[in-house]
Amino acid sequence: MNSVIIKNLTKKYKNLLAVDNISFNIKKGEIFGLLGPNGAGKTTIINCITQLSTITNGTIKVNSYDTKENYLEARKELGLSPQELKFDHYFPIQDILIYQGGYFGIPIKESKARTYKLLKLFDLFEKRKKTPSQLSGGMLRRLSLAKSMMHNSNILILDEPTAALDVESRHLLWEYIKDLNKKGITIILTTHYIEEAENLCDTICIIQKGKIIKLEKKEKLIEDLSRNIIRVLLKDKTTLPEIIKKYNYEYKDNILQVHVNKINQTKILNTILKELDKKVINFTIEQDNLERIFRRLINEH
Amino acid sequence: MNTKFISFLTLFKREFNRFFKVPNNTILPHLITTLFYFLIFGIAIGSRIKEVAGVDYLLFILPGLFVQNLINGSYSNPSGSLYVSRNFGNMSDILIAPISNLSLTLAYVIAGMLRGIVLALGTVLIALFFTTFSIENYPLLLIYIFLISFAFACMGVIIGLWAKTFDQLNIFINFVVTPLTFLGGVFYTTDIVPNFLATITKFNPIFYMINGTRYAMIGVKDGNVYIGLIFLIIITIILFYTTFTLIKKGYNLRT
Ligand SMILES: Nc1ncnc2c1ncn2[C@@H]1O[C@H](COP(=O)(O)OP(=O)(O)OP(=O)(O)O)[C@@H](O)[C@H]1O
Ligand SMILES: [Mg+2]
Repeated sequence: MNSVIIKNLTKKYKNLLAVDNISFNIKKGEIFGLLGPNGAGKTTIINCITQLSTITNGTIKVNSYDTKENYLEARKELGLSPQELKFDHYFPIQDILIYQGGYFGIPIKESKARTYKLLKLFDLFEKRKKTPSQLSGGMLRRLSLAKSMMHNSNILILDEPTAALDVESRHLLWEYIKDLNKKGITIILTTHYIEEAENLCDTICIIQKGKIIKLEKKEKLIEDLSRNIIRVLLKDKTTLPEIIKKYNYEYKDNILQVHVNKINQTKILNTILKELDKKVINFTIEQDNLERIFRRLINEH
Repeated sequence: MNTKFISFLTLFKREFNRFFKVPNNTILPHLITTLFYFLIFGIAIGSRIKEVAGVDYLLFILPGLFVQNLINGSYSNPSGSLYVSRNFGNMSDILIAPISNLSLTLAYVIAGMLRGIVLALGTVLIALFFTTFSIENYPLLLIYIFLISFAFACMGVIIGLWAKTFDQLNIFINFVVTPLTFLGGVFYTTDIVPNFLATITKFNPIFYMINGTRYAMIGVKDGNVYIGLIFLIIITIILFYTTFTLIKKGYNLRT
């Protein structure tokens, strides 16, 4: 089952092509990571899903509601914590949340109860009578997250949710995102902390210049694209056997480095150990991570 | 309660509460100005003028000031609120919520009308310190109040969406509404001013609003009240249609 279906989405701002004819689906119940460098088009895609931007071409369905034909139903399915922190400056933060519940049709009593719960959850209860301008940057980020969760939507979109959060809050948020996801909520997340995506996401979509350059389950992406390094310390200057020279390697100062991927890693390691045998003092394997894979992908494109 | 109605009501309440939060900007200045008009034109100068169109001068200027405040309040609320929300605040909170385009339009318009009506009633309250009177034609007065506030609240939404700078918000009030109000017979009838001024006045839409309201309030008129009414109804419909269309298109709201 798909929560979001995007077909041939194109978004132009005047003559700037921000999203270039992309199609993809987001499965129900997954944590979907949208990654990409600044200006890649992540926020634009999100804005098209939430209707903050109009679509130049293509269609978007949110839990089977078309964002044009059933625009109100589609909106009910979505909660959004935007990248930009902008708030209603006339009211204390508790009113902001209560209003937000109201905008989504939640009766006042329920909205109040939910507001208190979220204020406590995001450690903002003490500040409930303050206006947004009296809060710190990280507190505003937490307020934005609380606001996005006021109406218990089936899909939660978090545009750089951990920007400005301190280490502790970041880890708490990660745990909370995982909890929500266990309850069946689909989560769409953008982040520049690849470690965060690696930790949280089931699926990773890498965007560059408005196009998808990779869309894959996280494990598969790492498996396919990882470049691990086998690093072998040798006894003395040895000429390498021809078979090893066929690999992608570097050899300098008694240290041999061979680039491998998850699939051929064991085979290559065995060959090296067999061929060089006694000359090996020790060896290590440096595991690749999503961050390095991400950087390689971006640089290749 | 229906969830759609809750959405509408919440936005309406937010708009309405906002202007009571900042009375120093939204209510008091207008009423203080009004008080000065009554003091200067009603008492100081008015004591020399005595009567215009057969009524006490202070009473004569009351409907004009009433309309002026009605217009100001109705216009300022949606224009200011939308401008601030769009540029500094919570517009996206509202745009992602399941509030229909019609509800969105009406929430801004009706909250604006109410601010206009609060200011207009304030005008009457101030007048009651200086004079007494009884309303001539309640139904007609209510119709005029409704149409004027509705039309200018729509105008407020339009300008609130259009304005790129804070100055542009006030352009409409400073360069259109205020001159047209002063030239719309707040302080005079067309038969006591020079011909050219009388002619200008007769082409001024706000003249008909003031004239009709004055007739409904105190029974004095300076031109056909019903032509003015039809004219006002047409303007109101056009403005509402324009407002609704802009909101529906997401003009300067959705990127
Ligand atoms: N309202 C707008 N008007 C014109 N151009 C815009 C607008 N919003 C975004 N853009 C442009 O569209 C492109 C994509 O921007 P977008 O905000 O989607 O990037 P992003 O991937 O979210 O980047 P970041 O990681 O910096 O948040 C950029 O070139 C940006 O300048
Ligand atoms: Mg962004």
